[in-house]
Amino acid sequence: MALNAYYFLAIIQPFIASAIIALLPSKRKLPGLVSVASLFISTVSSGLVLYFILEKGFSGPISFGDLPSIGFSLSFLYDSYTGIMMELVSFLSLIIGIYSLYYMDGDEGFTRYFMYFTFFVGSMMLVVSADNLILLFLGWEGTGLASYALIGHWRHDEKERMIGEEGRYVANTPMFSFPSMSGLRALLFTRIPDVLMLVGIIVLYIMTGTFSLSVLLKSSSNVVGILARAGILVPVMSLLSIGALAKSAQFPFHEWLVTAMTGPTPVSALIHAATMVKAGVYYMVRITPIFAYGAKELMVTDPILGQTAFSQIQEFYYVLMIIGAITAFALATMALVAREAKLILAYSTGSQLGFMFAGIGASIFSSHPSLVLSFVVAHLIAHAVFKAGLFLGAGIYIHVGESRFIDEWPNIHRMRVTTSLNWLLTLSLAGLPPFIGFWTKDALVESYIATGLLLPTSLLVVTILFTAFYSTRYLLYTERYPGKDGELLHEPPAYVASTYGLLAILSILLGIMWPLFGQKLSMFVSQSFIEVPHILAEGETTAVAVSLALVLTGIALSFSAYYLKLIDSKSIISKLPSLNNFLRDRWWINVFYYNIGLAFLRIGEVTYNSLEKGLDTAINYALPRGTSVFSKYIRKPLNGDTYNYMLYFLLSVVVMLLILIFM
Amino acid sequence: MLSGSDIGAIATIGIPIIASSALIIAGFYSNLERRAIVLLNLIFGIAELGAIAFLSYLSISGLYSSALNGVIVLDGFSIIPLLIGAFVLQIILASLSLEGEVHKAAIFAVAGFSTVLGSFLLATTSSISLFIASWLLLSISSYTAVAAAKTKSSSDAALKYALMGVLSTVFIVMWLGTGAYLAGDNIYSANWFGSGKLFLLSAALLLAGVGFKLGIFPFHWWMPDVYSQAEGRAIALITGVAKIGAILGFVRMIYYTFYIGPSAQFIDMVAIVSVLTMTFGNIAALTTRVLPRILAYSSIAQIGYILVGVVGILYGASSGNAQLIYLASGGIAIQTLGYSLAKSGSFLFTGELGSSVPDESIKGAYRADALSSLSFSIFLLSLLGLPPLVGFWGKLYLFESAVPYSLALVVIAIINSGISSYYYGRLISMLFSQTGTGKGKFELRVSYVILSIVLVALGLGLLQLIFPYLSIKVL
Repeated sequence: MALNAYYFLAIIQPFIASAIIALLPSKRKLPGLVSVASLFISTVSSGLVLYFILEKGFSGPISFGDLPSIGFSLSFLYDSYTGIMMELVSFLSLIIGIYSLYYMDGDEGFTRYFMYFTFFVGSMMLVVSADNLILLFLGWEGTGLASYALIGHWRHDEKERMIGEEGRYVANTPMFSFPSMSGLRALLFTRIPDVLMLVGIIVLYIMTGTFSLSVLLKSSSNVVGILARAGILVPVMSLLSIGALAKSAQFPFHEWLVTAMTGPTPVSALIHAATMVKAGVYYMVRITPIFAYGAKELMVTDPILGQTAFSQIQEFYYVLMIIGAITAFALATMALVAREAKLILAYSTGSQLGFMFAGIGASIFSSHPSLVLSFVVAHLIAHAVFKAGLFLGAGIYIHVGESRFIDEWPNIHRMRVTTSLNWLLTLSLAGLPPFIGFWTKDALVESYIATGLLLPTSLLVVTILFTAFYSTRYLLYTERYPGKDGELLHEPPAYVASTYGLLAILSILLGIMWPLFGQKLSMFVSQSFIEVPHILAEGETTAVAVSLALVLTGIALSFSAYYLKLIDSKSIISKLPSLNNFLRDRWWINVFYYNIGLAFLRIGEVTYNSLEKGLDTAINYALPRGTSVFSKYIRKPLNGDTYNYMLYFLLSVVVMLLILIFM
Repeated sequence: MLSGSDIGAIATIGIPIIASSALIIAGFYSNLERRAIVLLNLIFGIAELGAIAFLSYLSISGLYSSALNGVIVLDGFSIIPLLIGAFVLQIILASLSLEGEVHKAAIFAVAGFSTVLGSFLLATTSSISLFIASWLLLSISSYTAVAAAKTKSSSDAALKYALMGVLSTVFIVMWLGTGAYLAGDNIYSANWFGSGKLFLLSAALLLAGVGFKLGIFPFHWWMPDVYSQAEGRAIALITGVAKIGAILGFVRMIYYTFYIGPSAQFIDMVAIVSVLTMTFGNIAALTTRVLPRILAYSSIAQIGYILVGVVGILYGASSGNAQLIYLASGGIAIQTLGYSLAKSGSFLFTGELGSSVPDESIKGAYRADALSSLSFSIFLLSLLGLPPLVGFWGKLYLFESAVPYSLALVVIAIINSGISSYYYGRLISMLFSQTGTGKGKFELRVSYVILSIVLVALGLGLLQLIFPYLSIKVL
């Protein structure tokens, strides 16, 4: 009973708050305060749920009622994974909500912002807690809607709200984007795969008769068996995964995340770094055990079918790992030369998500998939913490530096508090011990190496070097190339600095404590994935050495370039203009999409001219004209003369009788 | 020994007779206050409503399926729409409180009570002689109601109506004469099957005779004229009360006449007439610019939809599929009671604007009187068949019942519904137009609101609740 109430307060309550905010007068900070209060309640309730899970263990889903006739139930998962995700989402939302109070102060869409912000949190909580796939999909679409609205928040498309370099065209393709356009792009890029995902969910329902994640997991061997016997295992897995790939901005769907940076910075922090883009990872981690363990169990009961299914699943997850690796690598290279602060962070977000997807792919090849999945979850948590903090910091820099380009900022090291906190976050991203980012990434790298798959692993390992370089470059750049000399740089108010300060301290604190609690976390999380492994490391100590060496090299390179001034990065770039431009222009993938769009327009034009115009005339002119004439014609006999009417009446009867007689 | 159902039937028949006598006497006292007439209406109206409700209870609870030695058939198919009809009569009679002359009010009320009596007998009887008697009662009271306004145009309308009515009654008598010749008084004991062509010809006579009253193509000629010339409340009485008896009696007679073996030819004929009727009504309504005429054409179209259900019943009878008969007759009952509520409300509404008014006269009515305009929109939307209003459920069951007969018929009916959205939508958009001032406040606002609430409430679940009881008594 009490648990139901906590779930209600944590998940449903933000939706109600969002509706209330929409009705509030936009006086002062009232909508924001209501929103923060709602997020606070959500955080506390999630915390209590997590506490119960830690104290008493967990069992089946919690239901608020169901409609069995259509397979729908308002049921929520009650396990370690969901508990952690609920707390993570609500806690980060609360922190970023508080920051938004400062950041969005005086904005014309203050109420609108907090309405969607709160609505987003509700939807995201729904995603990470729903047991029913349809319910999950509702939340999933809710996050997409909120994301669309918040990316396009500054709907007047002022010049300073755009992303990319103004006026830069490549092959007639604009390489910059305005908020309203970016919102639409995000919607388009995620919605089309979402429809496929819905198809996948429904096919799964038709085949197995359930939408429930917990039921699917319990009967996993059955599920895999049914799908494999029908020969649609890989198609169904593809349909189920494609929505997640788009949501988590994986190659080649990553373009929307780049332009999504037109949204307000706290939105980028919450939705496009810490939470929504993680929905794809969350969901993949949720469904992977169904296939991983389902196939393994099936191999015991039906060896031939099980073997076929397992090899199909392995192939599929290999592709997933490659996609993750390419994303990680490609976006990291783009980040190397990016000039815009938020773009660097966006690339890095996509890149880190690639690491997580590669981890999901690698899990199938491990003898303990749930262990690898728990590493993915750990990296998800770590990344959410430090990337949210980095975005919040970037918001301050952009504000103080009055530019979104890092090369136009003054030397940010004059903001001592903010920059020191950002260093903690950055080093976590770079993967330096003892920050949390090091441990979780290292755990993943060990898993990659353990698969023995050369191509994805090497791409991912190289990416570690890039990551260390671009992340430190982000903060060091103005040390060497300050854009303007500055007067004194003002620190933000203490409560604002404390938001990312808290995250920065968390990232080092968690890192220091990792050796103590890392294993426990893995065991705790993997309870949700059927198997609790007892071997707690894949045992590749070389991995630690390799990744540490790469991280240190990357940091050293960027230090020598931007701090010690030993290497002149600008002259290197000027010698490689084509490579530089290739990376700056995002591997030309945007050009590719843009031209597909143009091609569609062209097809539309041709269709319009050849087909639509004729139909248009027929339906909108000829048909109404014809009907109108006909209508007037058949009313002619009704001229008011009773004798005529009687005549018509008699004639009609006679005609009818004649027809019947001679028929 | 009188049974419960006999007592109910006698009360239902007796109350209108007593009411009419009392009202005629009251009408002589021209110095009497109008309030007295309204009070009499109310007392007898509620008594009648109670009597029909009692009969509804008897039939729904399954206690009785007939009364008065089987002359009156008790089934939900007729009783439930009649209950609505008695309720609609009360709404219409309430509008008499606006009438200045006591005499006129009394005559109209007498016509109203006679109509409800005629409707009741017509809809429930299985006796040939009672059918013709109640048909005449219904017809004459309708003419009286139209003529009661005593204006030039209403006299014209009444004359036209009466002339056409006499003509059509000739055909009804011919059909019934044939029936009596073959069967005696009880319609379903006739052996039409062995009568060859005679059977088809008399069916055609029935279609022509009753089709006149319903507005079935090609016997509909009088309808737009009369509906636009007569007073609103008289047409509200015809569409809201008299039509219930005419439609249900017609369906019952057709079904009971032909339940043994309706020939394929006859079913085809009804289907063709149905298509012609709805198409004519809808197409003709498109370019009409006179408000009551639009509603008259829409009435013709609605009868076309009901004929789709008649096809369903006949096809169910010929293929021995009782389920189809349940579905079709339930659909007809729902469509009829929805028609009664929506049409009576609509004609009262347009009647307040005057007779033969152009459709432009409702422009901007929403700004002057939001409640009345919203109610009028609900009437129109129900006629259009928008879920969850009554009209939607009626069409749903009607069309569903005809699917086994012919999908083409159903598709045509659905296309017709689509066409009708043009003129209904046009009227609704005029209500909400920014230009025009409308008439100001409507006096019968409360009546419209009540009718529209009933339409919504029935559509939102009440109908589903009573649907199992709405079937015609299957033979």
